[in-house]
Amino acid sequence: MARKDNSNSIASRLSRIEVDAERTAFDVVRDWFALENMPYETAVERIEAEFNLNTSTAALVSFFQKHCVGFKMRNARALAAEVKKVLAESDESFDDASMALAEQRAFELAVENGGDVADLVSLQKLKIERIKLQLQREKIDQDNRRITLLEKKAAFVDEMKDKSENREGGLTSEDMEEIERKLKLL
Amino acid sequence: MTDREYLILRNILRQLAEADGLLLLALHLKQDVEMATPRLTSTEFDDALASADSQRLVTTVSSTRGTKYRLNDAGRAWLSENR
Repeated sequence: MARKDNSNSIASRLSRIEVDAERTAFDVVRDWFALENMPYETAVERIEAEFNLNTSTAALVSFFQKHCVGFKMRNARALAAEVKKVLAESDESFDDASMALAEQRAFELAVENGGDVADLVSLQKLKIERIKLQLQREKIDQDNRRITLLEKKAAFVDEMKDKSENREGGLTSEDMEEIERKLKLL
Repeated sequence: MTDREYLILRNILRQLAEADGLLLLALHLKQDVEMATPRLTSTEFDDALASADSQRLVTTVSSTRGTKYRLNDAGRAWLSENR
């Protein structure tokens, strides 16, 4: 079980500083290390400049070990799992080996980019694009069905026109009934 | 094994444990172990990783992108005994 932070530790002190409604300085510094791979010396200076807190490299090493390692990997794992899920839900049939490979590659990319949020955004965009494509496909299907119906109507009208032109007295009452019935159906 | 070697080995295995069964490229592993281990040299890291491999604590996979590592059962057992 992880030990609780000392109230005077850098993690505790950063947690008490609110940056906005949802984030504290703790989240900001964790992102510096986990997402940006910021060197400790730079982080010491920025923590002092931005949050008015004095700290040391040793304190930040401890902060990294305790709070950043798991966070970065969790982000990368979550992204990889999301990619696998998207593939599993897609129309294409991927076998288990392909999906495991895609998950592994996504994980590596996420680790490479520090589990960058931009990647997650790209993934969401990918999902949205997939949904858009699906909608487009449905619209094309509907249009095709409409065109087929219009073609049938046109062919029927042509047929009736031929009948009326080639027969003395024009269309019979049976023809008229057929026209009504077919137009209702179409 | 010196205290320093022990610390580096533990940091390597902890990092791999966080990958939860997925393979981690040596390059990425090194980046995070460097952050968790002050003043880590490349030689120290390479030696510790070779030691983990020779003790069969990790599974090694060669790929076109480089060598990848994963914590195996023996590595998990080592970590649980060396928290």
